[in-house]
Amino acid sequence: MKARRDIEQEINRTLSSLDGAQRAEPGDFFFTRLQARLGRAEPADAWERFIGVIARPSVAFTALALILAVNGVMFAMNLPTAERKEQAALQQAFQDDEYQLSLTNFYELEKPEQ
Amino acid sequence: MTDIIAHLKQGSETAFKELVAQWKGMVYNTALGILQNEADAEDVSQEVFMQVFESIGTFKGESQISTWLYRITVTKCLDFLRKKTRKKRWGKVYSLFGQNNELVIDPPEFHHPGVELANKERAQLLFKAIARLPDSQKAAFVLNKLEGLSSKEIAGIMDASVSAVEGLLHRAKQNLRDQLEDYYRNEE
Repeated sequence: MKARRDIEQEINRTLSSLDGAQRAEPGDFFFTRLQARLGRAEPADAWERFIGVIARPSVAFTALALILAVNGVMFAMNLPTAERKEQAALQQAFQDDEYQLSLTNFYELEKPEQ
Repeated sequence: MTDIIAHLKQGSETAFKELVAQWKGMVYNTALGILQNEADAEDVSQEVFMQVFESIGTFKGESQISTWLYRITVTKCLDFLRKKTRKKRWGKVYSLFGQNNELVIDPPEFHHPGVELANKERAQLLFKAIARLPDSQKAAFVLNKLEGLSSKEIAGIMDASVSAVEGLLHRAKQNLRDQLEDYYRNEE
C-alpha cells in the first residue's frame, strides 16, 4: 500500500504527463484521401437519418411513453359506466327475446301461431 | 485568412487545399484526443473538412476560423462517440438474439504519438481515465490540455460562459484525480 503522499505525487505526475506533448498530425496524403471522399460523397440516406433519429434513447422513450399514455386514455374511456351497463343489459334482453337465446334445444322452440 | 475564406466561398480548390494544410493538425489532434483512435480521428477530421467545404457559405466571419473549426470538430467527435455507444448497445441486443453482429470493442491501450517517451505510460493511463469522463468534460479537458486553449477560448468553442467552462475543467480534473487515486491505491 502506497503512502498518501506518494499517491498524490503519482497523480500529479500523471495529470501533467500531457504537458509539452507535440501535436499529432494525420498520415501522409490526407488531402488526397479527403478529395476522394468528397468525390464519392452522397447525401445521407433518408432511412439512415430516420433510424438515427428514432434510435436516440430520448426519442424512443418518449414514443414509448406516448403509446402507453394513449393506451391508458383509451382504456379509461372504454371502462363500463352505469349507462353503458344498462344499455348492454337492455341489448342483451332484447337479443334473448328476439332470438330466444335462452332455449337450449330445438324442441323448446315455439311455433309461431297460425 | 479572410482571403482564403473569400476564395473558398467562390469554390476555389487551391484555397481549400491551403485551409486543410493549415488546420489539419489542429483538427486531427483534437479529434485524436477525444476519440483516442487514429482511424476514427482521421475519419472525423475528413468529415470536418467536408462540412467546411459544404457550409463555407454560412460562415459569417463573426468568430475566428479556428473557433469555427474547433466547434465542428468537437460536435462531430461527440456525435461519433454517441453513434459508437449506440452501435455497441444494439450490438449487445442483437447478440442476445443470436445474430452475427460483432460487439464493437475499444482497443485497450491508446498511445498519443506526440507524448514524450518518458511519459508514455502515464499518458496512457491518463487517456484511459479521460475516456471515462462525461462528454462535455472530456471535450473541455482535451482542448485545454492537448491544444493548450484558455477557458475563454474553450467557452467560445463550446458556446458556454467562461465560468461554466472553468466548472467543467474543475470537475474533469476532480474526476480524473478520483480515478487515478483508485488506480494507484489498488496498484499494489
